[in-house]
Amino acid sequence: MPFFKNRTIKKEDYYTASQMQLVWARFARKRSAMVAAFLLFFFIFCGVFAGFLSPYDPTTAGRDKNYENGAPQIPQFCDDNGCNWHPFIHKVERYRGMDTNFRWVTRQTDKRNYLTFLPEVKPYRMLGIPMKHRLFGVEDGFVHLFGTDAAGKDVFSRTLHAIGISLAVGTIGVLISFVLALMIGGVAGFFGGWVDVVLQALMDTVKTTPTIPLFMALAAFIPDEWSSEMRFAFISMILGLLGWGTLARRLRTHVLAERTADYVLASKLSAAGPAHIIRRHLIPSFTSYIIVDLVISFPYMVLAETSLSFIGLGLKDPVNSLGVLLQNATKVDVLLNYHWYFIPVPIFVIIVLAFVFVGDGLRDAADPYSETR
Amino acid sequence: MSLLSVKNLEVKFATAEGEITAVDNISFDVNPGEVLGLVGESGSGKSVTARSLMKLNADNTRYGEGSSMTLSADGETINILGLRTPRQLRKVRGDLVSMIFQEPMASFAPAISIGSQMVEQLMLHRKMTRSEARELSIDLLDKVGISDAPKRFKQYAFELSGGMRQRAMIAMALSTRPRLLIADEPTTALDVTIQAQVLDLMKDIVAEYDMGVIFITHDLGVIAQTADRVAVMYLGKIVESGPVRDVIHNPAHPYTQGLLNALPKLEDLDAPLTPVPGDIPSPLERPNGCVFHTRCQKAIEGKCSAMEPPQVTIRDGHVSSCFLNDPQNNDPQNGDLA
Amino acid sequence: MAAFIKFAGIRLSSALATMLLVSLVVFSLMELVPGNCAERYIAYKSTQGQIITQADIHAEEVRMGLDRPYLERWVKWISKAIFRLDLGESCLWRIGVNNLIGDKMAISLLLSFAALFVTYLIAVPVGIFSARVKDSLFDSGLRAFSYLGLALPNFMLALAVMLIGTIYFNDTLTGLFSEAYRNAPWSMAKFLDMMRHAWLPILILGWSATAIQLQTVRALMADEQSKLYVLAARARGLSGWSLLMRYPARHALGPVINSIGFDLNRIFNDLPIVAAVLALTDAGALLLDALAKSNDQQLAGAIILIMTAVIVALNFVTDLLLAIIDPRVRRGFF
Repeated sequence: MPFFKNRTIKKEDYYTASQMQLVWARFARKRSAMVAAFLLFFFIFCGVFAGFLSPYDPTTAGRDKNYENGAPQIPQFCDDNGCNWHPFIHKVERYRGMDTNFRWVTRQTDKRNYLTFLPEVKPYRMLGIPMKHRLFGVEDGFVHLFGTDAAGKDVFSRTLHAIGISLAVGTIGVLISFVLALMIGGVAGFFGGWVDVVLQALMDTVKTTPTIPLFMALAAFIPDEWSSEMRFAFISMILGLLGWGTLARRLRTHVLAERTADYVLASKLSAAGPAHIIRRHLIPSFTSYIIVDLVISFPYMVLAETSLSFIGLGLKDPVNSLGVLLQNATKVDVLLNYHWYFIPVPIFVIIVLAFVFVGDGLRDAADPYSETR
Repeated sequence: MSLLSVKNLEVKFATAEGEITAVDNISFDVNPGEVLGLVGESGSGKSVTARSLMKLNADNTRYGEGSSMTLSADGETINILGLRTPRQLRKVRGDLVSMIFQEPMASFAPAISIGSQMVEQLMLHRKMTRSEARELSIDLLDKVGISDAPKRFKQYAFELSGGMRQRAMIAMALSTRPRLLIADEPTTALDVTIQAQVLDLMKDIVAEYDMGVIFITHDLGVIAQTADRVAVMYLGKIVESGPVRDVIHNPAHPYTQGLLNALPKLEDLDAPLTPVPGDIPSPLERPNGCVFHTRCQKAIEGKCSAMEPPQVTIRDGHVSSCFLNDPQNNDPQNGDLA
Repeated sequence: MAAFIKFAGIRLSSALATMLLVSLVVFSLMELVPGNCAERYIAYKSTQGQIITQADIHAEEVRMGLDRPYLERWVKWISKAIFRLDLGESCLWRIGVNNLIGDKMAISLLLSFAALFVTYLIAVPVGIFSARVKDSLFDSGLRAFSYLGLALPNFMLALAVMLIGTIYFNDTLTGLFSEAYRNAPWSMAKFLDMMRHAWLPILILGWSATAIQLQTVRALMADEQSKLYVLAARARGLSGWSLLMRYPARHALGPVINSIGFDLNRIFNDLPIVAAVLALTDAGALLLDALAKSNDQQLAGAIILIMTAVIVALNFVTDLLLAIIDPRVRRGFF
């Protein structure tokens, strides 16, 4: 679609372009939205391929017994003994002696530990595919770009997996709430009358109750003995079940407005049935709105999950999510000494911001009148 | 001496896409008691012209170097473009000049009663107490034909019918007894029967108050009914102007001729309507030479697209800007010169 | 006036209907939690060395009325709550919920309404001001701030503040009371002590709401300013602040008032989490405890019910306010 690049759009092109092409053309013109979209794809990529990109298993299976609450290790090219083209970190060792009051401490040695590319590791599965290699590692022992937590788990690996999990929870939640919103809002708007009144009362109720306490109440059902996968599925479901209120209301308003629009009347007059009207007129008229709404509601889902997990009612340890990662971060000990626990926070802020910017850009692009402003 | 004298008015808007010329070097006069009709399609610059008279255009507006607008009333002469501060501008905003807008519903604030908006204007411009302003407002509402005026005074715009709202708008515009009234398509949003009532009301008022009126519309029929003189605008230029009957019976400019041919004729219902071909060009792509040449069927090749046509006086006060009207133009097509 | 009373009546009945529906939802949720109050109490007793039989559990269920049908229990619960303001008995603590949450709920409501007040105290003037200054730098700053309000949820902000507090001031800035007052009875001094600590939770609770509300007010002002009636008012000679306050600001007020209830909802959402992070001892913490640790259905249900009731009541009040400032609502135009 080269004609979007330059501003000399031929009139005919403009009039015959499909709605999606027009939306894209307007979207591509906004720099902030494009940067956000690029970042978003990058993080989605990180989340999906977390298994390969992270050097270790994010659970206790991949923990580093000798480096608990360890600081981040940044690969370097130079040290006191000169420089090398091959990036390396320094090895650590466990030590105890007079000078440490005979307590075990972990200290850095000046032995070099070179980074390796595509090392062969213990077989694992990523997205169900058996794999034997990770993207990177070190020759001997472990490398922890973001440090380790109290159990010696690699924060970098956990963060990548957490991105994946958060995106998955958000996706499932958004899909469930979308289906519910489409059914409830669509039915309320299309049929109107008492159906609309009853469904609206329901929407009002869901909107009035504070969501997080409700989330918490629902999440409290989960028996402790459930597996982490069941927990994950259930939490995503809860998010979806409670998140449809706003979207349903918007859809209802939209369907209501379109239903009484002249072109729908025209198609009724030419003897079109309701199925035809819904399929050919109503759904196309608001697909772009739906997509925008989905993108915009996504960060809310992710943040709700984060809050739930953070207070211990959402996902639990073997599964990683931002909330799980932050669970111990309120301890004074952590606040004082282990600042790398907070590395995931800016990453998640960036992801959510990316979603917001993309959603905003899409909304402006989908609004045919935004151009005149 | 004329009430309003506009000379070489040029209005441009600075936009992201570049400078847009909305009004291009126009001049006209309005005398007390006279109704000047401004006619043109949407985008011809008639509303911008009207808003310039009160300096109401947006912040990105630039007025041309040689532009001048002077208002002479009650023994003083005001240079409108020289007004800067809100206090100075108040003179032409709601005091000596009033404006009536196209959509009466949207031009009343929805949550403030009509009476309150009228009283506010009176107290801003005239030394009046609240109760005096209230009394005068109710009198005016009564005068413009609103029944039960004291009750309507307390009501809101949404509680009135369309015609009633426009009457209230007129009452409000008249409350300060302005010398110049600008009516920006005042009847376009109304039903035809209501439209006739409102036009009658306006005619009566002009006669009684002896003020100058600028009446903006795209409807030549309405102009024929109300105006004394008419100026036809196209792409920010006045292409033809003159006494209303003369212009309508003997249109000299091809654009005016086109507008008249596009009107349905009651005396010959079978006559085909001939629309002016093409669309009004985007303001970003202003044609060179005569601005109308892209749509003109009588355009002279090589001439109209290159040179600006001169202003030709057809008859007393009837002026047209077209090469075809120019007696020095030896083109053979010059046959239909009036 | 008659129209107004009718309007208020309709709103009141719809508020009551919403309240009933919400109470049913909350009650059902609490019912769905595995196990009931009697079992939990008996289980607690058994840890004290008593031998408990199925008959004991049943006897306790009868005593508490848990053998009655579901709807009957709901009616009893809600009617007691409405007519006697009695929210039942906590499963765990064995004392009336009212006693248990009394002053903690008051603290929570105080914090929440203070946060709500701060939100509007900042958002409305700044939003209106932003309509006056057409400066793109100010505008984009405002925009970035409100995006951050969404992307940096309140509890993460609280974490960040704590991190900074511990590093630079050697104080986590948490808690609501100083050591001396923690278990002291209420007094003026204790209240003042609380207010000295409360500024942080109030600011943090109001953070997201402020950021989003700012953007809303700004957009509403921009929207109103472009309307024809503003141009008409300018054409009548109005200008400056008097124009701004009487026309666009006055008409943007309606939607702003409409959103107050929604913002309180937002603040209540964050209450338990912020309580957890900042180690507050209010109803939010109690709710968190009831849900996450002790599984105390009666207590959790009561807290959620009170929160919702406050939101419904606030919505009713804002509806009335809306009718007072907007004649179109008052006179049933829409």
